Amino acid sequence: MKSNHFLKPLLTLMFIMAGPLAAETVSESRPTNTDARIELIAVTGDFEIIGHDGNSFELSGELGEDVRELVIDGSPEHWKIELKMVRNQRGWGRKKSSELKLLVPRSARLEARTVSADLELIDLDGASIEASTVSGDIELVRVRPFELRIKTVSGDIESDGGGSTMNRMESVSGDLELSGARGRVQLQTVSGDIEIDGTEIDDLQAETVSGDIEARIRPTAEAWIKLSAHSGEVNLQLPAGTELRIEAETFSGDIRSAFGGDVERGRGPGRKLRFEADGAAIRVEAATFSGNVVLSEFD
Amino acid sequence: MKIDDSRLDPSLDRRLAALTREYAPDPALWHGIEARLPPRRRSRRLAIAAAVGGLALIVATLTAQLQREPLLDPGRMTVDAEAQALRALEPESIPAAWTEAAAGLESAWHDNQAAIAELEQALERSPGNRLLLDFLAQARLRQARLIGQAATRNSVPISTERKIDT
Amino acid sequence: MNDALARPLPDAAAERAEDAVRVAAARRGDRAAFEGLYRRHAGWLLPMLWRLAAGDRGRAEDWLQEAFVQAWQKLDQLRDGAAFPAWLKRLAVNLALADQRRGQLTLVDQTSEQAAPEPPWPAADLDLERAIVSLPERARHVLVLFHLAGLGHTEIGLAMNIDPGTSKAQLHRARTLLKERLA
Repeated sequence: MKSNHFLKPLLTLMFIMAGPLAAETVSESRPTNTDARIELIAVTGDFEIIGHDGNSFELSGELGEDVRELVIDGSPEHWKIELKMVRNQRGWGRKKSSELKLLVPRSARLEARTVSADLELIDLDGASIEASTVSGDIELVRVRPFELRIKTVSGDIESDGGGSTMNRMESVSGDLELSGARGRVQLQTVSGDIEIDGTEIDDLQAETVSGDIEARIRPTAEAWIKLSAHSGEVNLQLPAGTELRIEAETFSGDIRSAFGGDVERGRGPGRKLRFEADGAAIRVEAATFSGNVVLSEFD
Repeated sequence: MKIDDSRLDPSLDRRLAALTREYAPDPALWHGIEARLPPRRRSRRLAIAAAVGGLALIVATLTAQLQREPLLDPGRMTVDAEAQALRALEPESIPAAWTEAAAGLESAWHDNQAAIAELEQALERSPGNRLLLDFLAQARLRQARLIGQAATRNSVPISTERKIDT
Repeated sequence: MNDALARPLPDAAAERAEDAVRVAAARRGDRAAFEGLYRRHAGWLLPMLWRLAAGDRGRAEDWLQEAFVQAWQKLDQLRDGAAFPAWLKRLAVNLALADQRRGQLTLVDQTSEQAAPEPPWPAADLDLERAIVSLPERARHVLVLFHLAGLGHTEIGLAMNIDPGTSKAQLHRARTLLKERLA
């Protein structure tokens, strides 16, 4: 409609609060489409991002002493909220950092990029949610977008009551804990542990080096589950009676399975379990270097 | 506003302003430039990791029958865009965060290096073991990723899993 | 690049964003990305260098090539990829001026007996082009950097290692000479 073209420039608002902000209170609101793309960019702080049923975003709380300016730019289709830092400051770690709450339409597409901020995302179910931080933790509560991508370096990732169709969570040294998972899931860490429980899992890949993998899964009829740990344990629990195609292998650990098949020991080190139940379409691949592989049942 | 004496001769300024300011150079010039571009200098550790990563890729392709998908990096474009955004956050002013991240990277590096050492020792005793080669290839790729994150200070994990198809 | 924005960016902002992406890629060794930077920026750099070189096309093209080779080697020094054009300009100006200082002894009176060079592009104002390249070197440099490269007297002073006041005086001298020669 022509009126939309006319209104777009009017609704495009550039808002900048500049200068040393010194723990200033913020209360900002903008009209926002329910499926808008919203970007939050910050370095430090604690951020709560909560989905609501309104057609707006609302930012409230306190800006940290390390924030040089708050920039809000865009339109109801796409908002970018950025906290710019004070330049070249010393003793940065001792300054009070931001504590903000951001309400967004629950169907919004959210991208949150931070460095050392902690993020808590609640009640979001848009097309996609992306959140990344370097050293902060990320917690998700009832976050169910179609696509979920979460990344940290040293922070932990915890998700409760969610379940996207496509889930990807990565950390370097942090732990990954995912409950209520569904769909396709990729979990990767190096030093951290991985813990996942989920239903209607189509595809699960989990990889760690020194951590353990604990997975309690109700797979779909043709699911593919691939778990890998170097020195950690791989523990996979599946519903009793699940018919599987199993390929499990370890170099110096043990393999135990409640789903049939015999563990083979070759001439050299290493143990393998290859077994295929009649008509089985669910595939499980588990591999470790020195950790144990345990496939067990739950009722 | 620049202060000059243009007020004294606006006609000269108009002529100067009208001079050609854009002209595409001879295409051969680019080829001359391209031929002189040296390989981009990278940190020595990263160069070593790249070479090792290349070897790991060769090893991995030899064991491709265990992989259902080729070793792709489907998240790379998104990670690169994210890295640019992180660079725009002026990391020079946030030493505390990088210290924490560095500690995390060091821990992961140590774990991965220990894994590589174990795998190599095991391969000496069991040369050609397919499981060990597979694990070693994954560990080498992980090593290259960790060095890349430490060297660029982007510190955003990079996916190397197979692509999730929509 | 990220997804297209719902609100279209102004052209200049879009170009800066594209430059930033190309610089990031070139830093990782992506030559195609660097070629993209060349194709975007060589066109405005060459006319400036040609005039600094007093119409010596070969020298201007050498400077152009050297500027891009140095840019490739020094990309890590560029913190903000979107500032590539200004950074490239400074790099090119510095190497051009340094090269001319090194060759100064051989350039004295070089142009006095030669035919005025013509620019490689179809010149709308050939008289002015010839007048510029015939200016004494320092006056020509200041005029080109001020009027055609958009530098201020402080920046010109830094590039040429002269006082901003001297830069202003040289600009005045250049303009006076141009008016005389165009009259």
